[in-house]
Formats: sequence, C-alpha cells, structure tokens
Amino acid sequence: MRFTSVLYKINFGRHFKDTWKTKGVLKVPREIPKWMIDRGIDIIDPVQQKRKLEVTEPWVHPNPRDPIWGVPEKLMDHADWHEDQVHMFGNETCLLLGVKQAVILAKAQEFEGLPPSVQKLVGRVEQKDQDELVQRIIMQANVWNPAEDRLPKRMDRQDVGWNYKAEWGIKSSDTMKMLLNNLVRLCFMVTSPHCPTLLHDRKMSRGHYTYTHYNFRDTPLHIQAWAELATWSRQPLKPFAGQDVIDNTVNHKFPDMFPIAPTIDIKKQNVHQNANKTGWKDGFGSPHTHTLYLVNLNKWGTSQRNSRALMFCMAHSIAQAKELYGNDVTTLPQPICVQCLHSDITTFHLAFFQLNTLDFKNDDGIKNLVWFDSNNQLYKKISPPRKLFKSTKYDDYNHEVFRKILAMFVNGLSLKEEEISQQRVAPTS
Amino acid sequence: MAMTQLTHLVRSLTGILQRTQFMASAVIEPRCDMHTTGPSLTGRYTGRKVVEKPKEYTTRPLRMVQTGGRGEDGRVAIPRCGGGHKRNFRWVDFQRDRLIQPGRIQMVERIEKIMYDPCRSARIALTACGEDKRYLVATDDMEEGNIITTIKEIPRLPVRPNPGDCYQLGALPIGAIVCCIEKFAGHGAMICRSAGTSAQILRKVDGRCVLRLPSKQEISVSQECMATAGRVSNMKHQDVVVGKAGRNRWYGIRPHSGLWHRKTGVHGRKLRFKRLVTFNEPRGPGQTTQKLTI
Repeated sequence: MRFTSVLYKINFGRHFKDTWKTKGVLKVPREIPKWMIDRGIDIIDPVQQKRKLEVTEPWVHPNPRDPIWGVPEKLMDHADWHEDQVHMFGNETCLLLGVKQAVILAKAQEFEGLPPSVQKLVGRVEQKDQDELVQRIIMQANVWNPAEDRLPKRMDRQDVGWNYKAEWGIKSSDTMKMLLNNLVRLCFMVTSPHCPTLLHDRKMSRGHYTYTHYNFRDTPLHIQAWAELATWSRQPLKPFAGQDVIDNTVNHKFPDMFPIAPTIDIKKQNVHQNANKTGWKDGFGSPHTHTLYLVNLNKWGTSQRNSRALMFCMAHSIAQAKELYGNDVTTLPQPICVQCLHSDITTFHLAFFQLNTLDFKNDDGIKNLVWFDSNNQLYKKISPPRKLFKSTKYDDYNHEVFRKILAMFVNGLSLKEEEISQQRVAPTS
Repeated sequence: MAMTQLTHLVRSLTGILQRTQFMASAVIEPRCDMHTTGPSLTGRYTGRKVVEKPKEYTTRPLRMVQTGGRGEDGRVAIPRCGGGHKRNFRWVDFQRDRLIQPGRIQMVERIEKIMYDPCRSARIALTACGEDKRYLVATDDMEEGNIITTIKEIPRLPVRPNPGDCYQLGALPIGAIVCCIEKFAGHGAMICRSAGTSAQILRKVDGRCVLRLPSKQEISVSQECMATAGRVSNMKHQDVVVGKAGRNRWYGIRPHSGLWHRKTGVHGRKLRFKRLVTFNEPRGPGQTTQKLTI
C-alpha cells in the first residue's frame, strides 16, 4: 500500500487515550519504601504538612550601579513639578492657525516686507565675489559634504506607487545647519572690512536657550526658546518704527478667532519654573539679542514657522525687558527689538519684532509690531522624478536673498562711511 | 466540510459576543478600548488593529498593525485579510456632546479642515473649540470655516435642523434626515456613519423615536439619543467601481478560496419582513464572554 500523507498522520488522540489508560492512574504507595528512609530523604506528606520554602538572600548583581538596573525618574519627582499646569510654548509647538493666532498671543500688529530702517541697509555692505562664495556654500552643504548617512524613505506625492531605492548621503538637517552656519560666517567676513569694531560689537552663540513667562489675559504662558545660532550686540537695536506708528497701533483690531481660544495647541505642563533666563550670566558684555537663527526641522507651513519665530523673538525681548527693568514691568521707556531668520533647505524667512508694551491683559492700548518677509528662495533644488539624489540640479540662484540677510546682520553696526561707487557690484548667477 | 462551517460560525459568534461586551460600557469619556474603522468593515477590521492606546483623546494619527486576519492564537480568525496600503488610525470622536461644559446645553465648534481618512469610507472633519481639537465624521454639507453646534435639549416644539448640527432625536421633526445616530444615549454614534448613508425619522412614540435605516430596517431608540442632521459625506462612494482585482488588494482584501460553496439563506434577494428592533437598555457590565468549544 502506498504510504500517503494521510496514512503518515499520527492520531495523537488515540495514542494519548491508550497511554492514559495505563499510566493515567497515580499509584500512591501505602508504605514509604525502605530505601528512601535509609538514604535519609526528607519525606513530606503534602496533605498534612506544608513544604517550607527556603529563604535565601536575594541575588544582587556584582555591579548594582550599572545603568541596566536603572529605574527612570518619575515626572512627579522632578524638582520643578507643580500641581498646577501652565501652557508651555516650545520648539515643537505647531499652532493651528499660525501667524493669525501668534499675533494675538504677542499682541502684535503685522506688516509685510522689511522694516524701512533695514530696507535702507540692503546693498550697503558688499563684496565683489559674495555671490560666488554663497554658491560655494550651497554646494558644500548639499553636494561636497562627504557624509554617508542612511537617508529616510523617499516618497513622491505625485508618484505614490514608485519605490525609490535606499540611499546614503547628506541628511537635510545637516544641510540646513551647515548652510546657516556658513552664511553667518560669510556675513562676518563680508562686514569686517567695513566695520573695524565688528568682533567687539557682535558676539555669536550656538544652541542658545532662553526661558521666560508672561501673563496672557490672566493665564500664565511660559516660553522655552532654542536657537541654532544667535548673535548678540553691545548696544541694543534701534526701534524699527517711530512713535507715530506705535501710537497708531491703538486703532488696530485683531481678527476674530471665535470659537477657538488663542492658546490652542500650546500644551499644558506640570513642570515649569517661575524664572526668567536670558541664557547669559550677569556681567556679560553683549547682553542685547540681535538676531536669532532658527532651523526648520519640521514639515510645517510658512505660517506655523513664522509664528514660532515670532514667539521666540518675543521670548527674548520679554526676558531682556524683565532683566533690565524688573519682573513687573508693563510700560517700557524704550522699545526692545529682536530679529529672526529661519530657514528651510532652500528658503529663508525674515522676521523683525519690536516690543512696545508688556500689558497683555486685553487687546486694547498700544500693541507690539512685527514684520514678516517670507518665502525668499535662495536657490532651487530640482530632483527629477524617479531618479536618485545624485541627479539633483541646483538652479535659479537669487542674489537678493543674501543681500537681505547681510542687511539684517549689519543693522545696528557703526559702519565706515565709504564712497558709494557709481557702478554697483554686478551679481553673478 | 460541516466541521469547518461550524468552526467558522463559532468563531464569528465569539467575536460578536466579545464586541458587544465592549460596547456595553456606559461612560462619557473618550473610549480607547475599541478602535473601530468603518461599519462595513467591522466584521473584519480589514485585518488591522490599533497598537497605540493613549489615555487621553488625541488627534495625532495612531499606529496600526496588520494582523492578516490572525487572532491571538496565530490562526486565521477572519479570512480574506492581508496586504494593502499602510494606514494610520485617526481617532474619530463619535460622542458629539463630550465637550459640552457641565451645566450647559450646547456648544459651538469651527471646522478647520475636511480630510481623507483611510480607515473609513466617509470623510472626517477636523474641528476646534476652545483649546480642544477633534475629528468628526463629516456630513455632506460641511465646509471648511463653517461653525456647527451641538444642542442637548428637547424643546416643546421640534426645531428645523441645520445641516451639520447635532440634536437630540426628540428635538427633530418627523421626516428629518439624520446620520451618526446613537443607539443608547451617551454611548456615541453607531448607526449611519458610512459614506452617503442617512436615516429618516418616521414617528415618535412615548419618549422613543422610530427611524428607517438605509437597509429599510426600522429601529426604535430613546429620544435622548444624539444624531447629526444631514447625510454623511462622500456620496459618490457607492458609484465607485472596483474594476480590477488589484484595487481590492490595495484595500487589504485577499481573494476568495476558489472552492465551490453551497448557497445558503444569505444568498438571493428574497424579501423578508423586517421587524421593528427596539434598543431599550445596553447590556450591563455583568455580561461575560462565553467561549463555545466543541
């Protein structure tokens, strides 16, 4: 007979039942066997006695301080944990309505474009080969950097079914940081012949942290601001707008957000401090915030990114105001100004904030001022569809963008008066 | 053959008992114990389950894992599940009256965005009110920027329903078109959540409302149950022709077994008299699951 798969199957049920018939009954001996007693084995009747469990010392690892045995700290044991929750604005706070919501939180009137004092400085400081140097910086950040990191899975929304090969190269975060760092360095280089006291007047810090808080309509709002780069000046920035513009802000009305609260998307936290930190210790020679440089390592829209820049500028200005005039200040003798530049891989957005008042109880009275100059695309990064990153093309260099960044950098410096030549430096594209 | 049919029946019965036990809990909190996708896919969850279970309501998309129709024991519990495009779960809030402040009767919210949800046939609306954001099943008339209300009051005279607003069934007139209807007051919407569906109020009797569902079935629910006025969005869903086997595979539906199955009473278009179904009280927490074994 052919040995088929059906015949090969073992009937475990039948085998189990057969075995159970013979071995299923437990035979308990009437008497304890003599050889057991002779060997001296401890015999315990489970019905009469309970087995005594031997208590041994618990085993301890020879190195009990090894982090493998570490227990994470509970949030409630944090030194700054409070029972009451406060709104905390941070790096990751993405506001639902973007700038429309942030201007209410900052009580700021919004303007488009550069402030007039900065517009005058565009092209004031120049170098012959600055465009070539900026293009070299772009190439260094995008192409010449020899980093080989595993890049995240690539998906084209217009061509969803196409599976891109895994690639190794330069991460977008590294590109952004390198681009920003080198552009600021170039600003220093281009400005130094025009300003002998540059290094005395302008300082730079990396990864700067600021913490401050204020009462927005009787609810406390805390802000933690991180900046990739920040420049500091010996003298405070001059106000962007004069007293007439400040007085006109009384008539400005904010857009209606009903039924949404202005503090939506700002998460509440138990861990907070009643502190005001500019990030510098007392006695630092250049305590006035000049410019913040932020990197947009997120996939937000322009409005959300601008709102973050605005809130961080406000945090720095409030921290400075409290440091100079005390924690309870509401009216300032002089407005405090902070600039901000935040960038994508290709696009740069400029923000200018002027703090006129710290009275956030309601929407009446003098308001602060903010200027946004968004969507300045320095260059275009064209990745052909269904091709690898190495076939990316860099095109459409815009020389105006670096001139704006320079104008922003130069704002507030005492520059040498030079003869402005008839023929301006021609931009190389 | 009979053995396998019986095991299928048993498995589906145990599944139903387990699900009804979850549905019986009567609280007005965001319920994360059971993440359902769409009603048409409730029977099989398209072979996916939600892995993250946050305690508080969140609009962040939650991770889903493909089960392939396999149960806890690793064996196929629900057939024809597997593959398909990856999906993230958006926790849709079916309890429209959850955010009404205590002591108040109504609330107002604004629609920020109407978006696609891979887990259901209807579209979802991201709404915001105060400091809260949530997803709701979008009705046909909802547009971005609209303001919608939820009213928890039964006045003496019935109100004219505004499309997109949510009322208690006792407040609506006879003949009103509603969707996202609760079976038991305070339990969350369960009926007519799928694309293009709607029910009609037929009559009101003794503190209860009788509705006609899309399947012509009539049900009787308490007049305190909440319902949204209008039809569910994405009316064109029923006109979509799958067209090819590949599209079904994109949905995560695997092919039939290919074997011949004898037709049962489920097949055919025999007209059956549908009796009125009354939803009186939800099953209490004392109900336990019963595992049927042979």
